[in-house]
Amino acid sequence: MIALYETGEHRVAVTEESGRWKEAGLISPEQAAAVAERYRPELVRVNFFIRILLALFTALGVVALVALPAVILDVEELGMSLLFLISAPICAWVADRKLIAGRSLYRCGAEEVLLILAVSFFALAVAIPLIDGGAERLGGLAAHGILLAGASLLAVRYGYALAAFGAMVALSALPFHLADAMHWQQVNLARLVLLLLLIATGIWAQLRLRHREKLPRGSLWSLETVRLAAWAGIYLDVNLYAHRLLWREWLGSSPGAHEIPWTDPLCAALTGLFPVAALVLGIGRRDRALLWFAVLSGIVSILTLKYYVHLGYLAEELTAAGLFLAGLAFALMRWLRTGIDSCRGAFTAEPLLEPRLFGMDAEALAAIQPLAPGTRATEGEGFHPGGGSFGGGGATGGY
Amino acid sequence: MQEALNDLEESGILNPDQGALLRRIYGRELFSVYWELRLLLYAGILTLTTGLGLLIAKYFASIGHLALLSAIALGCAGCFAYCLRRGGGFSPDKLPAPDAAYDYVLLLGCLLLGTFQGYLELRYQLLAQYWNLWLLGGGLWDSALRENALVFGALLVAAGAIQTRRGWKRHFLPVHLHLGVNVLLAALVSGVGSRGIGPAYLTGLLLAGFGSAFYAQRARSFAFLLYALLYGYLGVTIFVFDNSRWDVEGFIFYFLVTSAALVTSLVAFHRRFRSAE
Repeated sequence: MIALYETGEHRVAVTEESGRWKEAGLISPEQAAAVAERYRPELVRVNFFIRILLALFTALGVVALVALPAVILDVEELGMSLLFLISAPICAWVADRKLIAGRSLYRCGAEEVLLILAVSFFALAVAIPLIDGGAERLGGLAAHGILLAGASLLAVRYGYALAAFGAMVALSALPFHLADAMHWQQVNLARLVLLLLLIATGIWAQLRLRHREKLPRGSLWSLETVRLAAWAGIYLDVNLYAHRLLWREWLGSSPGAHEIPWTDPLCAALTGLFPVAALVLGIGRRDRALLWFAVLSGIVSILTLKYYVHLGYLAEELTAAGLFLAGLAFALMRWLRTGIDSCRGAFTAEPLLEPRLFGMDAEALAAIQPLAPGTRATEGEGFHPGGGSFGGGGATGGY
Repeated sequence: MQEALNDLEESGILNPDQGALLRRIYGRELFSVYWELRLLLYAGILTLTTGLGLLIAKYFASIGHLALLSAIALGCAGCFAYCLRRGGGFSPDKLPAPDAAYDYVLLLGCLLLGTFQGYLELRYQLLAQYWNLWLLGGGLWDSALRENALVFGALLVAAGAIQTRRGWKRHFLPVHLHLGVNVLLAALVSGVGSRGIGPAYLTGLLLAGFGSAFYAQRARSFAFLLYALLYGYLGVTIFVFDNSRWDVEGFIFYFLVTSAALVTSLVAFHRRFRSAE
């Protein structure tokens, strides 16, 4: 990541975290103001909603700016390609040199969208002449490769989690695009390559995350995105039986045979075990991202497993599953609350800090879920270690 | 974060107890699963109500409509009765939930009420061809329903304003405003393209948009600036496109000029109100 962000993000993180401490009532507003003053970031930031607006209108303006000469001069394919080739480095230069290095903008929307447009324009500049020259597949593949490389570069250099997600999507589509461009006949082989790619990137991201304390925040979020995308991709692959036909072909099963003895139960077992594995890892490492993945994929498994393992009718299964999930949640809450100081080991069912999703603040989260039950308003009293309704797991009270 | 906590403690901004607690949280020696358990509970309630709905559909013929409707109504009334009884009476201020189940029983009651309405309409066709009045948003492009949406959105905003002024349940205001402003602005945008009354809707949209932007600046709640600008821009663009005879260059020029003006205005707005803080 660029040095400006690597050094500046630390102050941004402390300032934003102090806001969460204040929201949770762990520190007073005066203390939060003192933290914000001491760690005043040098990077320029904007509110999350203004960031969305800046990104949207910058994109609209730049696309119009590129389209205007194209329409006025009535350019053909080669002219468009030239126009994109000129626009791409200009966008990248304005974003990197003028806005980020010059004005220290940090996730303000405008510079992010300019960098994304630079990558897209470059991909179009390369693809258009190839497609125009008759090499349609090669043009598409070249554009795909540029998008993948560009998104990866943005994630590595600027720590953009959205770019990391884009890179994972491009990586996932690559085997299929390659299969199409190279005229591979076996689509299932592409699926297998995708599975291997996802496993490799998932392991790589997990290994990098072992040193999460030393990573800048942007890199951490990008790696979290890569890891979760890999987990989700592998889970979907297993749940959708993506390789069923490949196994069938490799094992020499006859076309009339209904099922292969071991692959279907294996996929069903993995569909059930995957969330459990995420849960075990999440609890063992106290990894919130994995815990959320485990809960969500567990629910999906409950809803979809019936198509593999026929235990009963959908209505009865859903009713039983709903009772089980709600009962489990209540039982766990009760079990945690009856522990010493409302804790069992390191775990507590009491709220400590407001959730944060890739830097989205409380207002942003509140805006996207105004009707969800259980949203917690700011409590003036806050968390009381050593007394009150929750003892703080052994921490002494008195502040 | 541990380095920052040490620094803040040494500088006297945090006291030792606060520092110790925060160090435990960031060191994951104290790990809250509050939101994860809430998610599990929420999913459980939704799955349960879906399963119950399917069970009803499955045994519908053998149970009988009246019995089913009675069961749903009883369940709904039971949920609301539980909430009224456990809620501890009306208070103009925010009250903590008496137990972990409270919010979810209320949610279950509301879902059962929705099921009851749907079943009633499906079986007895209470509103017949006007059935989509149940679904306000689904008929937004129908002029009659658009007017309903306008009234509904305005009522929500007005209800939020009145209760805040009177000091009743001030914490409901964000829900009223987010929902009300979105419904109101969407209804106004949908009317901008209508023949004859388009300018009136555009005027209303601009007034409501200014109101939303003013509130955003005053309450430092910038989601309302987003609503004002997005809906406002969409409405103005529809109006301009409907009422102009420009060629392609003209439209592109319109986007270029308006987006440049909006970006400049947003930067000025941010500088003036320091939106990140």
